[in-house]
Amino acid sequence: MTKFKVNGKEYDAPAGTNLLQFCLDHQIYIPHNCYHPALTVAGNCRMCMVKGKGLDLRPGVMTSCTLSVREPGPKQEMLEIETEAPEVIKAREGVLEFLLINHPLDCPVCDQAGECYLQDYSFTYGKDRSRFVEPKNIRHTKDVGDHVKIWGNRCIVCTRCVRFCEEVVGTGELAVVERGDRNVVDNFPGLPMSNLMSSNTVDICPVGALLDKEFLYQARVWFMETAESVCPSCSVGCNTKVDTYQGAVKRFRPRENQAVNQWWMCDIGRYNHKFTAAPDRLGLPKRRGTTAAGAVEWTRCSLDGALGDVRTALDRVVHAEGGAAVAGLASAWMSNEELWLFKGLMADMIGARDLGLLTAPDGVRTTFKKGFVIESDRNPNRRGAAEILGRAAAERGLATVLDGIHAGRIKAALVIGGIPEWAPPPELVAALRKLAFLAVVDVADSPLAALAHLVIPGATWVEKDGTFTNAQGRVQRFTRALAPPGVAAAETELLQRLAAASAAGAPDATGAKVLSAQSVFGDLAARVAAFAGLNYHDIGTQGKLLAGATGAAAAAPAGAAASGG
Amino acid sequence: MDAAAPHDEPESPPAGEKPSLSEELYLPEILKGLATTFKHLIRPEKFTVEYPEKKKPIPQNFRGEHALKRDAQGRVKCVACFLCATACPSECIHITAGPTPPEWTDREKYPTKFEIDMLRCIYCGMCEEACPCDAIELTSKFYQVSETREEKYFGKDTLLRQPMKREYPDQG
Amino acid sequence: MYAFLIPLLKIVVVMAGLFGAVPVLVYFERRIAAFIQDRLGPNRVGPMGLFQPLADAIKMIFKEDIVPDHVDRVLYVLAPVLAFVPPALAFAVIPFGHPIRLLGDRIDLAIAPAGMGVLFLLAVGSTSVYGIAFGGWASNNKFSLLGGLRSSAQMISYEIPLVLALVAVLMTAGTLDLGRIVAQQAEFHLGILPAWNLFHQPIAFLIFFIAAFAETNRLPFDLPECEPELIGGYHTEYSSMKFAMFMMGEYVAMISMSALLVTFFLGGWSFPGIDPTSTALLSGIASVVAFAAKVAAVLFVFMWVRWTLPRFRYDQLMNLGWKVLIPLALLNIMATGVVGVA
Ligand code: SF4
Ligand code: SF4
Ligand code: SF4
Ligand code: SF4
Repeated sequence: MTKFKVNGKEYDAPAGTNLLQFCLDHQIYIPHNCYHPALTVAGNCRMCMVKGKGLDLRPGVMTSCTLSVREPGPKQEMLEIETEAPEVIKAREGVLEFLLINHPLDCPVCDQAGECYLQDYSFTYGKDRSRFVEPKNIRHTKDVGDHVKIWGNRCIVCTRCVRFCEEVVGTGELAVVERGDRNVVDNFPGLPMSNLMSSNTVDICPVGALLDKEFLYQARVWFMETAESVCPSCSVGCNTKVDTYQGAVKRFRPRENQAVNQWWMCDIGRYNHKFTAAPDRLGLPKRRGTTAAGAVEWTRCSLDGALGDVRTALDRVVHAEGGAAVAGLASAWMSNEELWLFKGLMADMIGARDLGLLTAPDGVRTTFKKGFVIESDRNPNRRGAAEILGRAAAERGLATVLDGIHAGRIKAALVIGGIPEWAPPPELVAALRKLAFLAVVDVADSPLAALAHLVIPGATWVEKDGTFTNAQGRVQRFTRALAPPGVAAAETELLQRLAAASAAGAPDATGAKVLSAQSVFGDLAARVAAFAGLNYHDIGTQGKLLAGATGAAAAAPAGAAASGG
Repeated sequence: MDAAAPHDEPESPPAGEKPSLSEELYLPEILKGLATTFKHLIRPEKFTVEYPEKKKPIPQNFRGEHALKRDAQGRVKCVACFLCATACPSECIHITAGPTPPEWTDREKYPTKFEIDMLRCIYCGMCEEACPCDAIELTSKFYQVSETREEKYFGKDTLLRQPMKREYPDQG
Repeated sequence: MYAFLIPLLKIVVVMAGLFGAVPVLVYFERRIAAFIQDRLGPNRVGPMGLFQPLADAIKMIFKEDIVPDHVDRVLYVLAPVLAFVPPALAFAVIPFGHPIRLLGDRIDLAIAPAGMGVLFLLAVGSTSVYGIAFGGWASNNKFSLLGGLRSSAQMISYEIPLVLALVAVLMTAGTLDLGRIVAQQAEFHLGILPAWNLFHQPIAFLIFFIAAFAETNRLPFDLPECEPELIGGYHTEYSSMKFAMFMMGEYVAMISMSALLVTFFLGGWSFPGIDPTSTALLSGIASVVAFAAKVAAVLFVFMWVRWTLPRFRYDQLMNLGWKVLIPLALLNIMATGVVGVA
């Protein structure tokens, strides 16, 4: 450990520690634009000036991102820096004045306003006027990638985006072109930024130069409400923030979790939210009927009525033919709590023997230069389902159920946990068509819902609380960001109310107390070995590993995690 | 007490001073009061302005119904920055932003929808204060009557049609 | 037949005049209030706003008559009636003109000229507190109850100086017959000064006048209503015509009080130039007009005072009643007695 001083106070850190990062980690804020813990140090924005002395340093102001902790040599003094010295303040003012020379200051129409480093720093550290009277440079505004557009005028040439594409993604589509004050970021000719991590450049760009084309002009950031969530689009389970405005999801952003996704998320997950506001979202339960002419006719009904009817129908089949005549199909898009309640209802209360798991089809596994991975398993909770329903049910349950239906043994089924925008395999559709009674809990008017006798609206993960278990076996919490449409409710609630509906089917389920996801998780942790020792509160924002999980499956390489400091 | 101190509290009447005899008796004071009111009773000039026939001149800075201004080409001046909506204490401004039509080469963002719920508005003028583009203005339009609630939910068209303050300095 | 018709006719005419006067008074009160405050007041409905009372009446009639759930229904409905019948009854004995001779019959211009008129008045007058007290009680609302209680206390307190003031007057008059009290005042002192009790009993007049304000719940003594504290007091829960009846009761009480004041102190129907012994029809009409004019003048003072003085505090009200007016009235009686004996 090496001793050094910051603002007169002595600290201790291993030699080689980056001073800027050390200060940030110890509540000493040093403004910075180009420094990012994930990227190599560029030291070009000159914002992180400090006054330093000791070691072999020439006394004066210097960038703290390029300083690291070192042991003083013989006859050298201990490293000592000051972050708020008058020289530093003056230097920052100067740097900001330079940065603003060609900056358009169109904050009113700039989507970055409100989360812009330059804006915040100008307020906090800048001067309130400019001495620059010459006309400003005009630089290009153009698409640089599938999702990203650049406003060159706003670029402060920090090269974060360039370094990101180079070092993290490994594709290197961006470069700084032109010289001097015409410096601006552009694609290498003929190389649009179409990698699967491209939109992270929008997040790391400290100003409004790189903006997300889909989020463009959608909302001012200070109006949005943010909920902490987890991306369900693959089994990595990137930690995310869900930003909503006026009851609609506006964007997803990655949330730092060094053990899972570091600072990033992929574009597949980032843009996978359209279905939350799709026109075919179900808001009311509906019941299949037939018109006089024999055509299918759907009638809307109340949630209580629908839940009561489902329970009655299932119980009637059980009564007539035994529990084996009923099957339950859950999906790997359901939370741990929902799967647990599902198992409790179907296996323990109704007595169904066959439970199966529906999964979205696999995609391509993609690995990026610095270790970020997109898993081929495009379900958020297959691991959790395997632990809760049992490996056999999770892997072979669906086939058994299909066989049972074809053999005529299974007469009724409950299908729950709709996978958004999912095309069910034809053999599943063919089998379900044969059932005497089929109830489907789905988030949208899907092909499965079209087969059902009763359709009950469920909630997508942004509309409820719960946990997913990712491929490493890390249990991660997601929180409710907005209300489900219509009378739709979280599946935890629907399943509890189904369980509470009396065997006679009287629709008095409303009176029953509905437990929160947290309480259900407590029950799950007490009864399923893999979840032993976990509790909802402790999972917190960073997740907790299942008992026995190594966290290896999709963990980032150790080096990447360490560099985060 | 230092008599030179200019900002001293005005002296309160010394505690315990008795009201004078005439005050104690009430009656002389009451008669004085009656005389005062009688003077007003017969005074010919009254302060009432009989509204629809006679109108008070409306001050230049009167805050009446809003208008959205147009620029030299007649396009809406607003750039949909939402600062008015941010400043609005009654949260009655609802804007939907969008990219400008391609022929507007000088600007990239404009309001595709701009709605003000005039029934929620408190006419505080914060929106006008906040606007960086001088695009929204509270006109001196004083006479604001509608027969339905919906009519008071002003859309962009209504707001753009409003008269400007300059042109109607004292219109009721 | 004929003997029956004349009193009936008198009742109809007097009551019609009384209730007809209420809207007119409301109109004048609003206009006077406005003028005192340098405003214009209602001037839109009809010429000079003269139809405003009509519009008010129509509004009142068409308002929904709400009986809240929590009230004592019987008393709640009874209260407005009780509030306005007793003051109207007072007019039974008040002479509003000198007797006239019509078709050979002598007709007294009072509905029921009674020898005990004063006692009747006092008896009837003291029942008017019931309306307000009932209203406050039946509304089952703390503000109304407070209003009702205040009203009872106030009326009882001021009934005493009122009556004591009258005692002094009756001592000088030596009769309980209102007709004779008025006739006595029709004379003149020194040929010019009317022999009004105002001049014989100025102290009694003052006490009676002040107590009259308190008895009619008029400002500066309108503590039972007292909008800022009691949200209207006893009539908070009333709406539509029931509310209107309270209003009318208040105005009728004002008219009765003014009539009493005129009768006891201001010479009733007498007026210089009207021969009190004449029984001619024309002279009779002139006396009625004189009476009405005097009542109107007193009513104007009522209104004038209302828009001049602020409301008393409750303790001030009670102090004034018990510590000033009652002792003063007693002293006045003693002085009258001493002067009478001497
Ligand atoms: S990049 Fe920042 S400072 Fe520049 S216009 Fe946008 S918000 Fe304003
Ligand atoms: S586009 Fe943004 S991240 Fe890239 S160099 Fe410019 S300011 Fe930096
Ligand atoms: S005047 Fe005030 S309340 Fe009305 S829209 Fe403007 S800011 Fe909002
Ligand atoms: S503040 Fe001005 S420019 Fe901005 S949205 Fe409002 S009206 Fe438009």
